[in-house]
Amino acid sequence: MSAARPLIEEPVFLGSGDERLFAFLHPAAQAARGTIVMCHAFAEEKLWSHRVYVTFAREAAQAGFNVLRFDMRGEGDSALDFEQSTIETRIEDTLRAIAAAKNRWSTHDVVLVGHRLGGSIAAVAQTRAASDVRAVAIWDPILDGEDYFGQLLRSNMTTQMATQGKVTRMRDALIKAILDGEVVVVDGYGLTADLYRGIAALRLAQREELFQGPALLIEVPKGEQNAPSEPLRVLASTRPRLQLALEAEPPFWRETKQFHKRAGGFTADTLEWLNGLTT
Amino acid sequence: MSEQIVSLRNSAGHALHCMFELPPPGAPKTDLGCVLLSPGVKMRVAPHRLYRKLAAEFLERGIAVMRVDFHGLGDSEGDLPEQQLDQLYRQVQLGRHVDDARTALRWLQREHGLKRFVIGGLCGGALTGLLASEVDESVVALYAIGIPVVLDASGQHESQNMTQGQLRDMRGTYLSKLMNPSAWLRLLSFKSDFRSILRSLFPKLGAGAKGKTVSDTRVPPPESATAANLNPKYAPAMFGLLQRNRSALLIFSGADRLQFEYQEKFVAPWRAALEKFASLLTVEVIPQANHVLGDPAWMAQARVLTGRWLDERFK
Repeated sequence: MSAARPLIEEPVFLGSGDERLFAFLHPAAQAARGTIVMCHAFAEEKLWSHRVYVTFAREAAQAGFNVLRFDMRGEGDSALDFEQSTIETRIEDTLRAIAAAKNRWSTHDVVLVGHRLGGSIAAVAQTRAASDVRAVAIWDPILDGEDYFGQLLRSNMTTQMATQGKVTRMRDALIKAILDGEVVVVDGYGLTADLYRGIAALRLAQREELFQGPALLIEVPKGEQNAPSEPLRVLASTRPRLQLALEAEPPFWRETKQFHKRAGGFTADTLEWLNGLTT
Repeated sequence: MSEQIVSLRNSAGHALHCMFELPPPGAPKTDLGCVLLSPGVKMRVAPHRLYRKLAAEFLERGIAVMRVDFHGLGDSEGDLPEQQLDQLYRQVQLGRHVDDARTALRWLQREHGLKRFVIGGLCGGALTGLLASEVDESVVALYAIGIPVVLDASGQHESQNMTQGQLRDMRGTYLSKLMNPSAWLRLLSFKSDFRSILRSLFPKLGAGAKGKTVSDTRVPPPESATAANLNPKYAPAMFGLLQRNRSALLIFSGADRLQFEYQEKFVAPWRAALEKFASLLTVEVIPQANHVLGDPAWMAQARVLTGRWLDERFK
């Protein structure tokens, strides 16, 4: 390392070989009030969002939280090819990240903050590490994995149009091909049958075990929407410790004309909710 | 996997977080290294981890690879002031991150004794590599995928700077919509981009202003007028590279406007001058490919072209 002054933030590898995770540690700038593990969005959405995650981690560290960011396997600088990764590997990776944060900062009080599909992963991981994870916050939750997968496939159809002048395989045909063993490519990422099954099974509103503890779901309103959507309200009606919020955050997880480096609404809501948890 | 996290500090003191990988045991020994630079805002892995896939071609030939996060991007320190992507790209195109690239070169020289470098990457990474070659003699070759030759955020309507290739493609798209009712509805409700439609149908109408003469002794006089939005740093840097007897591999994607821009805004005005450097300049086009090579077949072609070029130049 050629650093003239010590690094405050620390990049590390957790594990090795096919288990290796790349992680980034942001220690609290003052006496720690809690520990956050961040779960990133899926595939190219992760890359577009990356700087927003970095900024959130730095602001949370300034606000007194230890923060661990990490790349799930198949993505970023962690092990495995994307096509080898599954939803299950992502949940396992999150559990390992939680364990690493616990060890690093001697805490049993982790909060998971997840974005889009990473939020779904966080919600499931929380149920498997209930004694270590105190709460979960999700930015722009994806309630229906099947529907989300369909959105991913739209990009494949756009590529078909660009290269063949027409769309020869629509969503259902693409899903059938995937289930028959074909790897269907979206923006350079190969979608496998395991990934499809894993994502399609992530139906947050229908899983009784989720959000039984403190949780925050921040929804991005569509059109004129000025209150949380019906599915979220129904979900919250049976989860007394689930809090809902609405933030008109620009879609920094996909290409826009803006350079997104901060999600002001998500950040403010999350830090305020965290403050409520820790006081 | 022998990747190593390397944190460097650039001249301004920002920590740059990079990934360094040594060739596998048994690979040929060489003093040549490769530096792949952040493309746009997509950090050191690049879209769909493109750089990790391409790095394999270098590593198996014994060439160590460093993937670099620029300051203000990826995991690195620093804050970039731009709110708009085109403004940010413009600063990259003007050389904002050359110092970051040199920081990586110096570390590789000092810590690993590497003496010569292939530098570049995708898009802004490629251009930063080219600009770094002007100020660092250790750069012996440019490795460029989809290198931009124009300056973004020129303040003109997009259609004014379109190439003939882009206009031809656009004309084809509009003509194919003639029988499409929703396209007519869009047109009649004034939601269409009329300037672009007119420009594509009448290519000489509303063309952008011609560029200023490039006053750099390295750049031969152009045979025809240059484009108004040609990056003033591009031609001097590219001719400078070639005049120093450095080689370059330029890979373009067939469905990418950058290919048309390279041909029409750089090659056309300097066609004869460039012919003198034909032995140094390798230009390849991957048909139908998009800017990020987002299909395994395109990716495979890029790997083959990369491997072939490395074998021809450095074996």
